[in-house]
Amino acid sequence: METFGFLMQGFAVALQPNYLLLALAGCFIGTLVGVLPGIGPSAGTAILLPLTFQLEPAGAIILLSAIYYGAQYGGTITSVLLSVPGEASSVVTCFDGYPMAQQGRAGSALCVAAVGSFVGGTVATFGLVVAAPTMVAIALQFGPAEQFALMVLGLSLIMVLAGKSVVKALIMGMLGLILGMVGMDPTAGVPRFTFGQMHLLGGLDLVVVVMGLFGIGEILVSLEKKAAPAISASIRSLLPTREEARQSVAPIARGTLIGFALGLIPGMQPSLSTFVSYMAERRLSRTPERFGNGAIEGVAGPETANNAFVNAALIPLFTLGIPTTATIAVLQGAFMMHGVLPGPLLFRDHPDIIWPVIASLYVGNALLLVLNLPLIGIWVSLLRVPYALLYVLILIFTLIGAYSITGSSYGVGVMIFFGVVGYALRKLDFPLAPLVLTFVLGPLIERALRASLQMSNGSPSILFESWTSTVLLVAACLILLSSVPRLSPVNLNEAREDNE
Amino acid sequence: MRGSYFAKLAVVLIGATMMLTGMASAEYPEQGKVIRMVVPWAPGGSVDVFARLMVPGLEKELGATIEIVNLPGAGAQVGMTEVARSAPDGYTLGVASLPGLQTIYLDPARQAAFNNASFTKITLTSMDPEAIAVKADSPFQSIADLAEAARKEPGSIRVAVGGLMGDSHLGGILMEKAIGADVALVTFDGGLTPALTAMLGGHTHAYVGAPPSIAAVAQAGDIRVIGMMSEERNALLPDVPTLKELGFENAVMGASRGIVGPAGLPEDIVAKLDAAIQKAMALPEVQASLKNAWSTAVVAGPAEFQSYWDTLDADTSALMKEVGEQ
Repeated sequence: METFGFLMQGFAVALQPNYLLLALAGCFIGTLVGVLPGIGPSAGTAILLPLTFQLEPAGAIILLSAIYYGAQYGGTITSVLLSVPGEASSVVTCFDGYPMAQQGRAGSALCVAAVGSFVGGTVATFGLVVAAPTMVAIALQFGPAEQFALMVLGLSLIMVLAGKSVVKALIMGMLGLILGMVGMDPTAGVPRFTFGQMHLLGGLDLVVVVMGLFGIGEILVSLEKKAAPAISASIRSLLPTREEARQSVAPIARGTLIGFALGLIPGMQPSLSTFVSYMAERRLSRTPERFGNGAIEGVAGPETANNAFVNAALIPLFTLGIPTTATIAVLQGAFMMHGVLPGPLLFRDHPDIIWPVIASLYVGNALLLVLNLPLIGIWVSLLRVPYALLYVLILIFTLIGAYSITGSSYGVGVMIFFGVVGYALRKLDFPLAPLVLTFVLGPLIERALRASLQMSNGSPSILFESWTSTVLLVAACLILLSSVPRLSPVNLNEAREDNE
Repeated sequence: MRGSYFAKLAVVLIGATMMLTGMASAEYPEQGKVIRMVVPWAPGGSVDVFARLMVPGLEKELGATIEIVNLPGAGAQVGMTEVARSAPDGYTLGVASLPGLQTIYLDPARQAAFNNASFTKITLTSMDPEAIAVKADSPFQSIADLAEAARKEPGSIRVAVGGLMGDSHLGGILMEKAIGADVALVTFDGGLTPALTAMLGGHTHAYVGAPPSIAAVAQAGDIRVIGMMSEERNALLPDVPTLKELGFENAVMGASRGIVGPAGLPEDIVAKLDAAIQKAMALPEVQASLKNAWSTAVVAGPAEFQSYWDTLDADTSALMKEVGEQ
């Protein structure tokens, strides 16, 4: 197999000390970038972009890609330990990862996340090598109508996140949709919900909102409790138990598939893959009530999905020159700056660059695992820091993070606002997950729908033109119908009684 | 005696201050001061890459450090507002993309905090005409084919364009008018990338966008460029006819880029910057990168840039009124 030969040559180059060092540096910087709330992979790669000028093209791409997938794991650390998501894609990990940490199982969560990330990234890279053109051709079949259908399917799973009160979940879902509409109308070009504020013209930034709701909100809630010096439950072994490991296998497998598929499809974001994985795990589990209270599946699946997503998203860049996320656009910029045009001719014209890069993806994912497993002990010992000090540090980092994302103190104000909102919602026992899901999905669904309608001159029949979109929409309907019993008056009354 | 002492002191002080100010502007750029180049888009995009390619040469020419600051948001509105509001001291510059920027301030709904007069035009750096492309295996081999199909079934031909009122969208509107038949223009809010993706997936029949956006796939032969919306044939794609030669009038549209500063920038600073930018653009490595990315470098100084901007303002305004955005 020719490809295999090229890949071996790529390994020969990628394993040279200088490229190995670059991959290691990228993993380390990426993890750091992921840990720091607010500085996401796109900001991190953008900051280092000028430095990569000095490197050769292969080295530059190796470094930047390593930062990207490193950041996916880094975000997990703060999500699990502090319930402060460092990126949008680590929000979901807060739901079950943080309760696990509170039960003293933080080491287990981080370990499973690291292994899952490795599996997801490696399998995705394998897919890249073996069947990139085929995968891309399939993915391109997802036009606006199909993207709309897929995302409606994702939205229909929202009931899975509902927990005790269905009504509250739906209210949060609506609120998320409204928040997602803030900014410029994509088709009419007029401001919506901006109240005349120029800073809102670009919409609300997801990471800022999420840091406010989860990070600051969590701090405010904890301030009410009597300040415990540190985690009360003793920190059990840093490794998962056999039971936990067994429970993680299937979620990791499913997470890989979900992340890989979504990474290829145009118009998706890494955070969506984590949501879909989480909702899938919850739906498929025989004991869904464990979710939200430290179910290991809720960490294993999403963590694998986001690494698979990120590695799969490289495929459209390498094969077509199309960047599907902001960070991948930075990678494309890095290629361009070195005079290399990523696209169909990349493998033909620059095999000496692309094959070492691909080989380095394997190497980097392995390095990430090797780098982070021993560090779990150090990260977990963060929990021994007295809460008073810890929360001050979190506040400082999130405030700086909000400023760094938005470039103005307005963003900091927005984050604090949502911090208060998050506090209020928690006190009133409203689930935050549906809000984040619809906040992410809403704008994407709207754009896909409007583009579809523009294609059909306003006729909704375009949504059923292809088999793919029809099947997805029917599936969404079925899922919604199967959730209807929960909405029956009997169940709603029961839920209300439970809450009282 | 006192009075005249103070008067003399005042004269000396005023004289010294004037001398110092005079010296300060003559010393532009000062040692140790960093010049901010605002790119109102996210990193990695075409404008950002262009800035990063040009800046090292510019730094050498000026003898100063230039820092690229990405301020994305609201389609360049956030970043350009910042440039317009900055002090005209030559330490804040911006990369303006036309006609996109103009559509922002020409549309009252956008409530722009700037307009034509808010910026000092320094140097025009590139002009990329819109290219009309189809998939390589498309049944439409030429603009005439597309026009015919559109006339037979109005609204059936789908054309993917970029964001609302961007150069690509405006190009699509002009093309539609030129061929005299209704097409379904599909705007993609995320820019040219999703638009190109949609065409590659066969969801639209054609695509309108500047050559840098299609360089990779066109060079590989996956798509074919069937027309250029320029006055004359483009040097990078010499085999592609212009819509003008094919008989379609008033079908000229492109994306231009230039370096601007806040209004009121002193003339000597403008002249110095313009000279340095033009030299940086002429560097072989910058020329090579632009060519590789299918970007057409066109360089013009402040006066030419200003008059080009004014003409484009009028044209864009007229087009927007027709489309109903004004």
